[in-house]
Amino acid sequence: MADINLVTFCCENSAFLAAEKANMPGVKAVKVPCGGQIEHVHILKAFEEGADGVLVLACLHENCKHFWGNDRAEKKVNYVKGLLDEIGIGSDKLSYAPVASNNEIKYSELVKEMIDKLNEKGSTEGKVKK
Amino acid sequence: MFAGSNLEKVLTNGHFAVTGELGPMMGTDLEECLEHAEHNRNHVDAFNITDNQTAVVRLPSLVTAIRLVDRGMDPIMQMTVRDRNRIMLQSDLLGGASCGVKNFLCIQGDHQLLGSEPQAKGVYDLDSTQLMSTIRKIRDENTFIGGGELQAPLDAFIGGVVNPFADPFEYRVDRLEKKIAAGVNFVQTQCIYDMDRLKEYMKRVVDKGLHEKCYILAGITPLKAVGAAMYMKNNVAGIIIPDEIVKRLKGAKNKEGGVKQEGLKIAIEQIQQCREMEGFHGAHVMAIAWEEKVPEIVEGVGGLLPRPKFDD
Amino acid sequence: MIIGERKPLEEIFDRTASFKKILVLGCETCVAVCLAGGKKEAEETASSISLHRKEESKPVEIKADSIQRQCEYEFVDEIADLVKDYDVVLSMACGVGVQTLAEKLPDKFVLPGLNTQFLGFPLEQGVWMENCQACGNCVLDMTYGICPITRCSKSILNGPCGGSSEGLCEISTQDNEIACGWHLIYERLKVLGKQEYMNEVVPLKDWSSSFHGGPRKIVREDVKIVRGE
Repeated sequence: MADINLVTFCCENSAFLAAEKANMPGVKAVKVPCGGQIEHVHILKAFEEGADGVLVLACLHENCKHFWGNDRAEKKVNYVKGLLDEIGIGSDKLSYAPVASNNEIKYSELVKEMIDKLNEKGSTEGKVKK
Repeated sequence: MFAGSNLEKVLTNGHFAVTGELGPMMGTDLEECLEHAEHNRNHVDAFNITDNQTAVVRLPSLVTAIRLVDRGMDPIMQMTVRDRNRIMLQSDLLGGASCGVKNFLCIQGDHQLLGSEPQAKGVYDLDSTQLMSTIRKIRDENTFIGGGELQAPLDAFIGGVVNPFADPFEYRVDRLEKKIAAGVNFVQTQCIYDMDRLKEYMKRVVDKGLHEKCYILAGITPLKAVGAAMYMKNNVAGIIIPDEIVKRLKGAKNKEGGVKQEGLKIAIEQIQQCREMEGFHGAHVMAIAWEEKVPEIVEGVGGLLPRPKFDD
Repeated sequence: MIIGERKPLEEIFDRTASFKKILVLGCETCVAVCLAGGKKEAEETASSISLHRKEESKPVEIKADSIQRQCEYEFVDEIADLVKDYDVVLSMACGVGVQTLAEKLPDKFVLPGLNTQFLGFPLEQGVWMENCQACGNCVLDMTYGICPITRCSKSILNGPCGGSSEGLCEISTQDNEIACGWHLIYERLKVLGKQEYMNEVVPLKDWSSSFHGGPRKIVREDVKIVRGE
């Protein structure tokens, strides 16, 4: 199994707290004040700097302190997925999910899910990353 | 008389006029169209020739109209403003008139996005109302739009279309009045199915005395099939088909003659009703793709044959 | 303002494929407001090109920057030096900006990254609509504020046509509802008590003041700067 680098953009009010508790190796958790503050280019830059996969994790639906930050985050993720397909990287390397602050289990599951997906792709394409 | 066409003579002599419609093909064979005309020549006074109808490329109305004149029939040359600028519009008028075309009908035309060439540039230099006033100016003042004088005069009996079934309804009668002010001599309505709305429209038209300033012909299209009726009902802007008509057609499936016969019956009834309504001077039968039924419809109405003939 | 949309990425990738050093230049005025070509969008586009070239194993040197307006020489001057380091400028500005760059940088390849669409305004965030065609002879006085040239799909001046149904234009679809411009005008004139204007026959339009008279130019001698002034 090759080393996989993941970046998770985590809302400081929810997912980031879960990320800290989960503390998974190979995963860089980036704290953001609100999911809605993430820009398309942040996600693209993560890929440019070597991420194999990116997850954007924010508050549960209707739990956003800023009312719609999480909804905006999800919309931006969907937009960037379109860009990733056009670029040729593939939209399945990016995902969005709501994660509550006390749910480090869900956090780890989402991360594992992405890693598995990437490994699958890796083995079929014959790529080995170091 | 403005131009002395057969249609004009029928109307000015107080007869109930009957006009038909021809839709030239999407190819180079004019004969198909002319055969339909021959088949109907004793049942109508004049024929509308559609002009790239529904924004689909077809033989032009100008050419078909000229051929009709050659065969001794009276064409109503439809001119859309969608495809021609003022240079071409005036030029086509000269072309038609030089070959004996006397009736010119001004219409906007369906938008090019809806037709066979959605990537085309729509022209819309003039609108249909402005085209009417242009033809009048050329005819009455012998002057082109740009001010130059014609080297030989143009006669024209100017036609237009009105649609009592489009919105906003309360403006539609004023719109007819405006077209009359612009110079229209006769109008044909969009196809009629909703008699209630039509009656209300004609009442307002008569109240304003517009039927005395302009000849009005009722547009009638016989329905061939339930599917066709539903399509027009749901997809064509500006056509209203009431549920009762659809019901009648559906109910006729098992009758003798079927839906088609019921469709013809409805058309005949509509013409009869319009004849009795104050304000109408004739009927315009649009039976595209069913031209062979026009004689049956005209005969079915009763009292319309033989069509009046005038010595030139 | 001028509204545009970024060109499809595939087209941008194709067009820039032969260049090794690309400067993606955004514009901070109209196209930033319609979220198509501002600083953010320039950065996004540069990132996308970079990632795509990595996928294709065709490296590229690429940078994103932006200036206040690409349609004025004084702002273009600000990046005149920066541009020297690049083979091509991918401009995210409207057609006006792209051409101004080309004029100011005649020795540089300049490519458009945006499709300039129309003159319009935001109906709400995320929805922009055309409402002016720059016909050169404004007829908005006729309708007290709704343009028949633009809002009517056939630019009718004596409208509506027979295809106006339930307030919608005949080219309206379920995905793209287009209001009948003349229906809107009629309703507006009703509110203002001026519907008799609908009964006047509006004469032919002089299209020579619009693009049909050739590319237009305005000269104000009174404000031109004369050398030595």
